[in-house]
Amino acid sequence: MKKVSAFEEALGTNWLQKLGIVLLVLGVASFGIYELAALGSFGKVIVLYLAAAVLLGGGIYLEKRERYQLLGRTGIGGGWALFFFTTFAMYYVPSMRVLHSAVLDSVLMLLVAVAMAAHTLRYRSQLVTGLAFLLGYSTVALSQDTVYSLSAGVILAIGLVTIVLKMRWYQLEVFGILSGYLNHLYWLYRILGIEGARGRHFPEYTASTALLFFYWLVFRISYLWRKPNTVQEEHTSTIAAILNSTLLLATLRFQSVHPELAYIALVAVGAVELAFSQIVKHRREAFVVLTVIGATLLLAAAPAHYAGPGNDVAILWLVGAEVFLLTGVLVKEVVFRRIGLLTGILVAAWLAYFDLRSLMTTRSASETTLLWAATLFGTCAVAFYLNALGIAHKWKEFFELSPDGELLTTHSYLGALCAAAAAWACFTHDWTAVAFAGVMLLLAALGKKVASQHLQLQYLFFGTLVAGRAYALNLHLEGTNGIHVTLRLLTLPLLAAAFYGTAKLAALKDTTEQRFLRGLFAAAGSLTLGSLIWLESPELWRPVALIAFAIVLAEAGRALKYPVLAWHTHVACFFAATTVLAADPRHLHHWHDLPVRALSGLAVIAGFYWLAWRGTKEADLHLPITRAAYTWAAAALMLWALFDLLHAPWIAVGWIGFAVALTLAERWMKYEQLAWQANVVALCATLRAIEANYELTQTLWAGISLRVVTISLVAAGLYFVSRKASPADDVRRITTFVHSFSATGLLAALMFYEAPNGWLAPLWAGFALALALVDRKWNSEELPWQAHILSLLAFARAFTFNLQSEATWHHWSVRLLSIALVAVIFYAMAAVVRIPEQWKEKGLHHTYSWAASLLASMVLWHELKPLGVAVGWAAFGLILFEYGLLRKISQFRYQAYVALVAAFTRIFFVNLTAGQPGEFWSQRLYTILPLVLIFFFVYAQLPGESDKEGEDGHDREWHIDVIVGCLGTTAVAALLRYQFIGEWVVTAWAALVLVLFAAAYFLRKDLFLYQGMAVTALTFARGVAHNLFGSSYFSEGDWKGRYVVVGAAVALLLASLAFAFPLRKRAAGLGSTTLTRRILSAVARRPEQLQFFAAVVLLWLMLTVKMNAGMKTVAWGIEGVGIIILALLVKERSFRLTGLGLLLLCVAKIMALDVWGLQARDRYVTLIIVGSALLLVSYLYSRYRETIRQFL
Amino acid sequence: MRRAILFPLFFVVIAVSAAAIYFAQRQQKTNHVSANAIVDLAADAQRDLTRAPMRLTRLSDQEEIAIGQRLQAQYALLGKEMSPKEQVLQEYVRQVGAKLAIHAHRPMPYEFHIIPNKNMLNAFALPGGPVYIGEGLTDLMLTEDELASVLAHEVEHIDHYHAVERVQIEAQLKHLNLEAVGDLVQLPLSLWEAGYHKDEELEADREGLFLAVAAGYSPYGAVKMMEKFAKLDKEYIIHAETPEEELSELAIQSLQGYFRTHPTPSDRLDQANRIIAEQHWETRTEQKPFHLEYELHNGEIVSK
Repeated sequence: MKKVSAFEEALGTNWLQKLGIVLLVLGVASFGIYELAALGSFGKVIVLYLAAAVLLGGGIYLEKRERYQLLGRTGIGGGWALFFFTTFAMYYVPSMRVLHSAVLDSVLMLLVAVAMAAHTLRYRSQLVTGLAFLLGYSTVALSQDTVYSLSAGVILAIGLVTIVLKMRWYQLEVFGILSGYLNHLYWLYRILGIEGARGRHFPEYTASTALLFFYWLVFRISYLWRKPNTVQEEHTSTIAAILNSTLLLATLRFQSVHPELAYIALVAVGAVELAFSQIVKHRREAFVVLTVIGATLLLAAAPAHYAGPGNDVAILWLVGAEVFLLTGVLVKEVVFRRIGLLTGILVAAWLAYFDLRSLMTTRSASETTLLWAATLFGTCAVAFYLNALGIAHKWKEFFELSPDGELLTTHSYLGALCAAAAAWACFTHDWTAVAFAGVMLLLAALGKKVASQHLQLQYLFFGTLVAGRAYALNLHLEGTNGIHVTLRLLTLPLLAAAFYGTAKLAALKDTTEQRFLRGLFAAAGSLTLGSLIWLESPELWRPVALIAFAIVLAEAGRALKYPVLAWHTHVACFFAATTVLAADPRHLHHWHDLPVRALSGLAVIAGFYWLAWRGTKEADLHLPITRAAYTWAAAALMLWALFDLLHAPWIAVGWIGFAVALTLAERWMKYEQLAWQANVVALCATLRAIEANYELTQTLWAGISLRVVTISLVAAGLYFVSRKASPADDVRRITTFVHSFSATGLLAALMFYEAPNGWLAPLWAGFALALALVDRKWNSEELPWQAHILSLLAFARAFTFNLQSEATWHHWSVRLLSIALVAVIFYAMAAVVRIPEQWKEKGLHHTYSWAASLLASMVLWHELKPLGVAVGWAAFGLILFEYGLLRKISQFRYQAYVALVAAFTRIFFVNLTAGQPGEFWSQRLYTILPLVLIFFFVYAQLPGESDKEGEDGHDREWHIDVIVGCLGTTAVAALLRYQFIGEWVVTAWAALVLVLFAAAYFLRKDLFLYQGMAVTALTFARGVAHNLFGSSYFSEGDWKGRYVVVGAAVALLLASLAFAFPLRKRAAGLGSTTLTRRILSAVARRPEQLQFFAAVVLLWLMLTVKMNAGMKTVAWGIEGVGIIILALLVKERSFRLTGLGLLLLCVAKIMALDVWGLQARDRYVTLIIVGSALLLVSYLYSRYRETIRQFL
Repeated sequence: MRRAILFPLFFVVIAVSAAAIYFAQRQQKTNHVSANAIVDLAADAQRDLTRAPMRLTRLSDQEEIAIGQRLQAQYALLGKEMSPKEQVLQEYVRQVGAKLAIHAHRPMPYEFHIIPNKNMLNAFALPGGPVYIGEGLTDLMLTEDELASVLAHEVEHIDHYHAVERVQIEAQLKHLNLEAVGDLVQLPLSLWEAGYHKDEELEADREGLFLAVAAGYSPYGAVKMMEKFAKLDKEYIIHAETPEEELSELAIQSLQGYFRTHPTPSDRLDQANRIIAEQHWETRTEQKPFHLEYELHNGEIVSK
């Protein structure tokens, strides 16, 4: 109640009051506008002035009271706005025109603006004063037709500057500058159009220019004059200063009559700004701002005058940059230095945009020497490098702070770019790369001398250019391999030498990054020479040449003690190997039926083994890896050679023989990589057998096929390798598993090929059982897993093949027999298979019984007609459940639960829709009732939460009893839903509610209570949505459709109160772990509340929807009276409160609906009645509040 | 539960189940496996949930008529060239429809058109009054009462707000602005050809029956048409024979028919016979023949 009262107070004294004030103002205004239509212009002006005066006076009056200060100021603002508008309208609004002199009106507007400023200054409100001046400027803009009338703007500007300097309202000046220039622009727009003068002369040009410079001077003097006290004020002043210059130039450009003379204005203004900057040297920020503005304007003057083909803006700027930079150094002024450095960057941008583009265009058309471009870029490169290296070295104390150092570094990079451009312009064809390489080498030497990492990056950039250029041009890839090219022979060694030389100079210190840089250049050198070998040598000799190059590199690296070259050796070897493999793809060259390429490979293999042998003599860390790699490569090449040498059926056998040989060699040499290679070769043999040997159906000897012989040999070899070729103890288990599994897999696949019919699944299952039994005897680790996999295959086979089989065997269905065999074997496997103990404790061995049960269920699905499947599954589930209960095997019970859920689900797909409408003893009924019987039979045997038996599973933890009980009740509810005509379902469900409550009471089972309450909610929802709102719009139905159906449901729900009251507080509840459970528990402890409210609300809605409009309130009243009587009878306070609430609702409904109903007929009267009715309700509420509180 | 009771009960339950399976196996009629039960529940829920909002946001008759006219123009169903026989059939349908329309609850501008397509065995209605019937469907009819039953059924789809509520629901689902010119393009013609919810179809059957009788037609015209629909249903529906076929059919049904169900022809026939019995219309068996009479001269209709 306190909250309600507080809300009402806030509404009345705060929000409503504010809203009322707003509405009052708007209302008066609207009334005035409407009535003013009958008045003349003079009368309108008088009334508006009076209104403005009232608002202004009221605002002034209220502003004096602290509580209404904000409202008062709003009134003042509004009043002045109305004053100004009225003054404006006296001339400019035709319907209110009382003046015929624009000048006089403008004077009056200015007077109003001045008065407004003077008045608002009393409150020291910058916002109000600013508003006044903006209005003043706007007035001037609206009313001026000649350039001379713009002088009013100058007066405003002077006044504004005066106020700004006096009051220190520097923000206001910003708006003043904007207003002044923009108003001038607006005036220019009116006489020149949107595109401005564009060189066309206009009469007011001189006066306008003078006015603009006068504006600029006034605001610039204001800027020079002021003495800001705070940093914020200085920043604001800076914005004003920049705006002043920017808007001046923009406006001058807009009205430009002689664009070619713009540079004079830029030079003049720039010079004056630079001069002004000397006046304010004591204000650092102002000095910087004016200096930058001046310098910018001076620099901008150059392209304004000299821009165009053949002009030297870059050179001019470069000179300016050097002048600023040197001046800054000499006078020790950082601003000049930075302007110089930034100008240098500007020079580079100009070069990049104009001159470099021109160079690229020329180069795309011809390869001629461009001396002028070379000179230009070269000069700039020298200047940039002098700045970056010379000046920075001589006066380093000036460039230690950021961003000066960074700017100098940028100059260094710009020098590199210019040098590259100069080299490109000066040298052509293959010699461009040589020139780049020369600059690279020069920079490398320079970088080594000054120890600069930036120079390193620059010659790295040049290295990239050299590489790119060499790839594009110097390699001459357009020619055929092996064809001699003179320029290639001349330039590539030079480039390689430059790369190697740069590599020598590259490393500044012994760090990872520096080593990487050196390695990069060395790699470029080797790559260049390797490319030369590749391109110049014939195909047949290429592997030999590459191997030889690799050996040279290896020996050179050893001699120079530069081990990185060993990596180059590896790359060369890689290419040697790939060259061998790619050679002679069509087998054109043979020697005594042996492919020549295989013989060529021997040279490469020999080279590999030589390198592996040399590797054993050094102790470098990567050499063991190298040795392993070369032996692996040799083994791979051997596989390839055997593949070329042997006939197809015997390749797998040859490979497994090679694997056996490697195994034996490993055992002799004790080099474990050979064992690894043996394993891989064995794996290859397996894959080869899979890929090629299963199709070998031809007989080899005595009815034995080639497939059986070769696969058996491979399997035998695999078993040998699995036992003997273990490279280390820690991987012995893996290799054993892999090869043992491979052997078993090959044999299983052999079975598939030898017996591809319905008996394969039992065969595999039997093989799995045999493996499991052998494992129990020999305790072999991998055999159980093979048994599992074979079982899985058997299951998949049965599922995908046998279930679809229609074949018969001696008049017996193969499907029945084979799946029965598999199921029996699976049940046996569940008993005999050996798995880890911790898995067995979790019941994982029952995966087999689950699979068996699933197969049995699938057979039922296939063999039974659709209507009987659900019953079959339920009965099967019951049998599983009883067996699991009898033998205390929880997994069988779980399977039973799944079967029951499946049976329940199944009824939604066939049983519920079976039978004819209106047919009582239908297929639906006699196939679903047994299910219900089974559900409740199982439910009755399941232990509940309070029972102490049945501890061997998770049945209780998973609330299986609740689930199965719910399945039974849901099946009944679903049966009722489809058994009865749609309208009567609600009554049937209400009857189910009564039955469930009775069951809960007599059987003392809380579950039925919860179910009863859930079905109550369902009944309520169904009644509301289907019977009430879902009924026909026009056919009102008979007395049954209108009242009896839902009425009967209501009566049955109310009848359940007879059991609900005794059940009160008897239910154990659902615990109190969460809020939801606590709420549900509270509801369950008071079941009569739900039953009562569901019935009462349903009845109320029925009366609302079904009754005639005029009778609804009466009906509600009768229901309320009835509820109160019932409440008095059962002595239930909540029922009584509901009855009282319903009576109150009747009152509210009468008022609310009547008022809204009358709205269409008489809007004006309706509004008055609604207001009166609301006040009456508020009065009644306030007067009887205590009585109601006591009553409640 | 004590074992002495448990064992006999167990065998009783097993025996009852076995009996149920036995009777199910003996059934000659193969029961159709479908998701109809679930789809019914979902469709019921959807319809029940939308009905109250539909009442609260009802479009005015003028808005409904305007939407119907825009849809009619959008689908371009009118103005197709028709043979003389089809022109006579068109006029015949208009006359029968006009007799029915005056008995509808809502005074809408009902229009009745044929779609000159002999393969179209369907009829449908658009919001606001337009009713269309396929020429192929009229070819199945032997009496005018059968034609009246079909047209009355479609009139009741309009009369009972089924058509306009479908527009409202689609507008909500697709976020359409019904006043926007282009938004109705998203309502395809198939939306109206597909039929309505089971309850709405049964309601249109029921109210259409009353409408036809009020216009002087026999209720057995509707019964005859429903019997023909039942026969067509048997011819066109394929029943699954194996679990795999059941699953694939269920998947197809779920994709095609989610939230849209139709009463089976037997449901509809049962309702019609029940109403005839309740209203004591058993004696109203006389039906007018489906009769088109016209003569052609040089391809022009000169009399009929």
